[in-house]
Amino acid sequence: MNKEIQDELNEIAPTLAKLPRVNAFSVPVMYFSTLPEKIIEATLKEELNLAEPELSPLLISLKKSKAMQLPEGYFANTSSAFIERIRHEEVKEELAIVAPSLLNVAKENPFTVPSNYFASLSQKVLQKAKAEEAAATLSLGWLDGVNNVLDKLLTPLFNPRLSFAFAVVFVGVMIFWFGVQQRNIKLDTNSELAAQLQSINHDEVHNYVAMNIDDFDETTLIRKINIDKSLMVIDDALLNDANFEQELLKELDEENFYNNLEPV
Amino acid sequence: MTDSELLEMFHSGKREKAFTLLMERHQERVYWHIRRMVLSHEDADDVMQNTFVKVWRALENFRADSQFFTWVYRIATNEALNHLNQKKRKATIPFEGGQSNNSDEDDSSFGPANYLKGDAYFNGDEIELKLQKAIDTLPNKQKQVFLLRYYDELPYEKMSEMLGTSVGALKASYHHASQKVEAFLLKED
Repeated sequence: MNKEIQDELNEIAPTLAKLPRVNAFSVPVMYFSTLPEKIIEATLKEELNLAEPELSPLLISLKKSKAMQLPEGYFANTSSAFIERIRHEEVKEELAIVAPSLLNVAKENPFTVPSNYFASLSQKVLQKAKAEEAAATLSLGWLDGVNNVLDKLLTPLFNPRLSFAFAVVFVGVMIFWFGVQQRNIKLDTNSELAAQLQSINHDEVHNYVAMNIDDFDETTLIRKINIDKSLMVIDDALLNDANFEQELLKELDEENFYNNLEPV
Repeated sequence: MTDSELLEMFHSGKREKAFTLLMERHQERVYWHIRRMVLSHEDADDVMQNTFVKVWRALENFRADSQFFTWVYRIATNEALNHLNQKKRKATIPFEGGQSNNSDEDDSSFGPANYLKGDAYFNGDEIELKLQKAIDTLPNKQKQVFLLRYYDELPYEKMSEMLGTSVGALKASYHHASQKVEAFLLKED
């Protein structure tokens, strides 16, 4: 406090001058920081009241904050909308260079779908997937059953050593069998074929053709019948390699012939 | 919920719920991609069902190395191409001995767009019909690129990720395809 004022107070009221100078009053929190805004708002309201007190009481009653609002998620979608627009422009510019006539065609979707198609689609797919799963489980269950029976029958018979020995024997047998097969293939097939053909009864051939007639188209069938007829009147001595080759060549065009040649 | 969250939900045991939500989110986009390739609704419906049955079966092993939609898109594309090839084979059986059928280069001989005029779910005008016929003459790869760029307006980078083809090759494909379509449209009937 100013010294002059203090001296004066000491002369006038010495007891009061001795009291400590404390401010016993306070203000609401943030009072001063919000005060200017409140004063401006109050002033605007007052002006509005004065300017149009009778014209639009409703307008006065409306809160300013409600005057303009944004759609929900507006700012979240803004960037993607811009990107979409940029892409659209890019595609359009590119098309103008590459195929300008296409710009004149309206890009509307001419296709439609049955009503409520999408509403039920996911359930339809789930049902189909489950049905297929159930069918697969059923067939697997049958196989599992067979597998279990075989396991029960075979497991006691084999311990690991026996299994290994069995595997070795099995592989050996397979190699031997394969060797025999290869040797048989190398035999003179033509002479075997001639011998086999001679031993076939004609009735058997007719029965076979009658049972498997779907395997032949009309042209092939007629040709085969003609061959059979010719063979029937031909002397057995004519059933030789050269005649067979000639008959076979009639059956095959050049491309098929080379495709059917087996490597020696 | 994001796709990743739905995939987590699927792996946590709520399989049907998660699958339904994933499918509902992507089904229309996948459908229209398929539909523009196969053209008829009946064919698109078959391909859609096969696609999502495959998604259901394989979802257990999908570990989000690629985006879910990109993955589904690839399955859908393969299914649609298989479907088109099967239909083409069936359509050409009575004409054995005719022109050869290269699966990727000779699609004009099949021409499902020829049936659009009587399709109850196609309401385009003459120009639209001609545009669909023009697109139908494109080889499959060019067709895919054209559809993704022209209708879906996808950037080449995204298409490259989806189709596993370089951006340069895609640009060349799109240019060729657009010019072929334009030439078809300008051609007198």
